Amino acid sequence: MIRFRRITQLVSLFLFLLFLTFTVYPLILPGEVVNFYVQLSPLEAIATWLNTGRFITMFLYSAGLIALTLVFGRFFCGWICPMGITLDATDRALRPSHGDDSKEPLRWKRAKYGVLIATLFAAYFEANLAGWLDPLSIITRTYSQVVLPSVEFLSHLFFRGLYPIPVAGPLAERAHSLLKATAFAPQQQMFHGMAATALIFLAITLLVYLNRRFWCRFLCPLGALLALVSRVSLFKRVVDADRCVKCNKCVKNCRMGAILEGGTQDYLGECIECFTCQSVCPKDAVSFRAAPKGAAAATARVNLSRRGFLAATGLGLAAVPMVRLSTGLRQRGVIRPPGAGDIDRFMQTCVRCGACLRVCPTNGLQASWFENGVEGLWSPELIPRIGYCEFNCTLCGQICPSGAIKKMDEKTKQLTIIGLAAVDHNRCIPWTREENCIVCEEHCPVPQKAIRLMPATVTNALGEKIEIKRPYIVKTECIGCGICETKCPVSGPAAIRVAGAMPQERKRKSVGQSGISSLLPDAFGAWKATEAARTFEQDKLFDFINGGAEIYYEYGFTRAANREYAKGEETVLIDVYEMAGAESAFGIFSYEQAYGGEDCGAGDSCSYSSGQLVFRQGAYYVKVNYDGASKEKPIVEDFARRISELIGDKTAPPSVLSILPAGADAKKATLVAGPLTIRGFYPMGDADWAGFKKGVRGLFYADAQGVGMTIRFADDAAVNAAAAALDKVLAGLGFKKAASAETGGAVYKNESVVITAAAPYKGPDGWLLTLRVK
Amino acid sequence: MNDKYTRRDFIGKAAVTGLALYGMSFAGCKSGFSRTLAQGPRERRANGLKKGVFVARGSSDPAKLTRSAVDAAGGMGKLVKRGDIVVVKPNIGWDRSPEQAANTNPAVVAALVAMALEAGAKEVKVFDRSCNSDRRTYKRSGIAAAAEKAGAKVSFVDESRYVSVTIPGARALKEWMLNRDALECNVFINVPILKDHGATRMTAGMKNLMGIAGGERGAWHVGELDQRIADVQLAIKPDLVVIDAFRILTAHGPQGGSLDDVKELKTIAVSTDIVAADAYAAKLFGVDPKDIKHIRIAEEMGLGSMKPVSLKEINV
Repeated sequence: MIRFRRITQLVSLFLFLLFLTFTVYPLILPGEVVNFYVQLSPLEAIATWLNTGRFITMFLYSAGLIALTLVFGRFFCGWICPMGITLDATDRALRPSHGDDSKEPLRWKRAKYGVLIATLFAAYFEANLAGWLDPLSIITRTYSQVVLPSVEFLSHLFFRGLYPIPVAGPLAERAHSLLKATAFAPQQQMFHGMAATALIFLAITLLVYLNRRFWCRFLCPLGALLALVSRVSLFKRVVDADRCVKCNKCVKNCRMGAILEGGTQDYLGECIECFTCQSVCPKDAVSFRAAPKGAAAATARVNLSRRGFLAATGLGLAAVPMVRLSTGLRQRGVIRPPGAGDIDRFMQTCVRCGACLRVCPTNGLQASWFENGVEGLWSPELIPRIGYCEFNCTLCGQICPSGAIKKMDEKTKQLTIIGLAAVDHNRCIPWTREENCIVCEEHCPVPQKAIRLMPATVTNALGEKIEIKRPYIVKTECIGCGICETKCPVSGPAAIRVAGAMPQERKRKSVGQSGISSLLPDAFGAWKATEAARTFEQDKLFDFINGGAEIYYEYGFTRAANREYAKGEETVLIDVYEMAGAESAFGIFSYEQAYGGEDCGAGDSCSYSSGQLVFRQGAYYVKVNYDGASKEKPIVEDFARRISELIGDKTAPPSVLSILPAGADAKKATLVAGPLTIRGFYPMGDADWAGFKKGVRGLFYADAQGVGMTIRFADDAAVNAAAAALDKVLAGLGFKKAASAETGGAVYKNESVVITAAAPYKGPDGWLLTLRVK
Repeated sequence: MNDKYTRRDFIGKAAVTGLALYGMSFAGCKSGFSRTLAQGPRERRANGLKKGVFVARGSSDPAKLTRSAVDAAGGMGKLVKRGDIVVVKPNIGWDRSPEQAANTNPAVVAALVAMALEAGAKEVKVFDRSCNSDRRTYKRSGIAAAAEKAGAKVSFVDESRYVSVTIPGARALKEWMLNRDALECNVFINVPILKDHGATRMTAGMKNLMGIAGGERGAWHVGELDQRIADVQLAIKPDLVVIDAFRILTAHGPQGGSLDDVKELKTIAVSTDIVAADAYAAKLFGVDPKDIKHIRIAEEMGLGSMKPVSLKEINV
C-alpha cells in the first residue's frame, strides 16, 4: 500500500509539474488542463465565493474533492497534494531519521483551524488571504517563479557549455532547441520577488526540524478544511485492539502525529491515509476501512477552544483593514493583465498562484511584492520595462484557474485597454538631442498606430536646420500594451511610459483607415502639421465649439478632430466632424450653409465663401480655413480635394431630399431633425411632437409660395398622431385652430402669424405633412 | 553478490555520465572557445550570376515568380555549389499573418529553399531575429512551416550564436554582435519584403540585414540609423537579394496590421547588387531611391549602384 501511495504521489507530482512546465507558449496542453490543480482547492472555492458573493464555477472540481473526502477521508494531503509530496521529499532529505515524531514541541494541531477561520472570515470582508495561504497557490507559485526558471537557467548554461565541444555540441544543440520550442519559457524568465518566494518556501521546509509535515499538521488552512470534512468520512483507520501490543511504533512513525499514545486512538481529522502505521505494525493490527459503529469512541477531537475561535475571528477581522487599507494598489497606475477587468473583482478572485507569470511570453508579468500595498502581494502586474503585453497573445486568460483574468478571444483582447502611454519630453531622444528615433512608433502594434510621428524643424548643435520626427500618443488608439516602453532605447527609465488603466474598458471600434484621425495626416505636400491633431469624442464637443454644439447633437454627432498646417507664414486650419451618418452630415451642412456661398468641387456638396471652404462627404463634414496672403480659393480647394480623396467614395444625395416640393431650391433646403432646427421655420418649443428622436426627419425650404416645411412619417398612423400632437403644441402657444376649406387641412392663427397645415398625403417612402407660415 | 544490474549501479553510472557532461559543459563555458571563433566580416565567393536587376511579375503564384526571376539571373546553379551551407534570411519580424504583409511571403522563402537544395546545397538555414516573440512570429508568418516543408533547417536564434565582429570600413557600426550562421555560410540569400517604415520611409534588402544583429538593436535607431544599415552590409555582403513585392505594405509599417494598407504587386525582383535591388524596390514603392538615405549612403560607400547594369522585366 505504501508503494502504491508513493507511486501515486510521484504520478501526481509529475502531472503537476508537467502541467506547470507546459504552461508556456504554444500551450501544447489546453488551458483547462494546465490549471487543474489549483481548481481542486475547496478553500479557494469558498474564499472566492465569500469574497465575490458568487460561486466561481471553475472551482467545481473542488466539489468532487469534498465528495471523495467524505468517503476516503483526508487522502488528498497524503496522496495528491503537490505541496505535501514536496514536503515528504524534503523532509526525508533533510531529516532522514526523524525519531519519535509524536512529540510535538508545539501542541498546535488546532492552529490550522484558526488559520482557516481567519482566512474565511477575512474573505467575507473581501480581504483575500486564501491566495497567500492555500498550499496549492504556494506550491504553484514556488515552482513557477523559483524552481522552473532556475532549472531552465541551469539547463541553458549546461547546453551552451556543450556547444563548442565536438560531437556533443550538435547533439546538445538539437536537444536544447527542442526543449526551447516546447517546454521552456520563450526567454529566460526572471522575477523580482523570486528570492523572497524561495526563502518563504525554504522556511516551510526547514520546519521539518521541529516536526515532519509541520505545515500540514499545524498551519495548512486547506488541510484544516479537509480535516473538518474527513471527521465524518466513511473510511477510517481501524485498530484491532485484540492484536495491538501497544508498542507505539505507529505513534512514533506517524508523520502527522495523528495517533494517540497507545496506538488505538486517533486525533479526528488528522490522518492523511499514508498507511505508514499499517506497514510498521508488527501485529497487522491496523486496517483502513469503513469504520464500524462505535469507532467515534476511538478518536480524540482536536477542537479550537471558544477563546481560540474568537481569537481567530478577531485576527481575520483585524487583517481586513491591514489588507484593504493598503496604499498603492489603486494609486500607482499598475498595469494588470488584460482581462483583469475591475480592480476589486480582480483582487477578490486572483488566487496568487503565479501561473500567468509563467505563461507570459515576454516575462513582463511580475508578481507584486509590497510596492502595491499588502493587498497587492503576489498579484500579477505588467512591468513594461521588463516585457510587454504581446498584441496577439491571450495566454494568461486561457490558463488563469479562477477566471480573475478573463478568457478573451484575440479580437476582444486587442481592443481591451490595459493602460495608456505617455511620452516624457525630458527624456525622449528627438526632444532632448535633436536626433531621430522612431523605435516606439515602429513597435506599436495597433494597426492604425497609437504612436504617431510629428515632423518638426529644429536647429541642432552644429547650427544646422534639420527635420526630425517626434512621437505623440493617440489616446483613442492606445491600449497600453507597453511594447513602446519595453523597446525604448533610452537607458534607465523609458522615455515613453505606460500607466495602467482600471477598470479595463473596451476600446471603441478602431476608427479605421477611413476614420477621422487618418483624414488629418502629418503633412499635405509642403504643408506640415504644426501640432498633433486634437480629437473630441462624442461627449466633448462643447470643449471644441462652445456655443453651437447643440445643433450638432440634434443632427447626430460622433466625434470631431482639428489640426493646423503651416507653410512659411501661411496657415490652414481644418476641422473634421464625423456625424452619425450621411444624413446627419447633410443636415449640419444644410443648416450652416443655408445662406449659400460659391460652388466648389469637393465632396458630395461644397460651399466656399471668404477664406472658408466647407464640404460634406459621407458621414463627414469638413471645414477648411485659410489664413495668409496668397489667393485663397485654390489653396482651400486643394486641401478639400485631398481630404475628399482620403474619405473615399462620394455618396448619393440623402433620400429625404425626395420630399422637397417641385420649385423649391434643394441647395437652400435645411434638414429638420428636432426643436432647434424647427426654429428656422417657426419656434415651437421643446416638445418632440413629430417624433424626431425616433428618426422622423423633414425639410424646410423657400419657394414661390414662401416658407414651407415638409415632414416625412413612416405611415398614416404616425402622421395623424403627429398632427394631433401639433394641435396641442400650437394651442399651448396661443394659436386658434380652424378647418381650412382651401387645403382640406387646418389653419392656426394668433395675433400676427398664420400657419397652415395641408391634409397629410402619401408621398415617396411615407406620409407627408406640409406646413406653411405667413 | 550477483551480476544483476542494480538500481544502485544505474544511478551511479548515470551520475558519472552526467558529471562528465557537466564538466565538459563547464569547460566549454569557461574556455572562451566559442568566443575565439569570432570572425571578421564574411567574404563573398565569386558566382556566375548575371549582373543587373531581374524582375518577374504577373503570376498569382509567388513561388513561380521567384523561380522565374532567379532563372532570369542565371539560375540557382550559378550560385549554389554542391555541399554548400546556404542561409536564406527572410523578414520574420512581426506576429502578423502573410496577408498582412509585414513578413516575407512564406511561398517565396520556400521556393528559395527548394531551389538551393535542388542546386546541391547540403543544408539551408532559415532564421531571423524577431521583434515580437519568435515563437509567435515564426508560426503566424507561415515561414517556419513552409521552409521546413521545403527542407530547410528553421531555428530560433539562441543568444550564444552571436559573435562580436569588427567591420572594417564601417563609419558608425564599427563593431557589433552578429549571427555566426550568417557569417559562416557559403551562400547568403537576403529575402526581404518591401514595406513602409517610419524611420527610413521604406524597408527592403539593406534594412532586412538588421535581423542578423544581436545586442540592443534599439540603439541603432537613434541618430545614425541609415549609416548603420549601410555599414552592416559590409559585414555580410549578401550573394543574392530577392525583393518580395508580391504583397507590399504601403503604410503603418513596418508591422502594419490593417489589410487596407496592403497592396498586391505580384512582383519579385532579384539582384546580386543590394543597392540596385533596393533602388528598384524604392521605385516600386513609389519613391525616388535618392530620397532614401541608407540607399544613398550605400552607393556612396561603393556597395553598389542605384542604376543597374541592366534591367530585365518578364511577365509570368
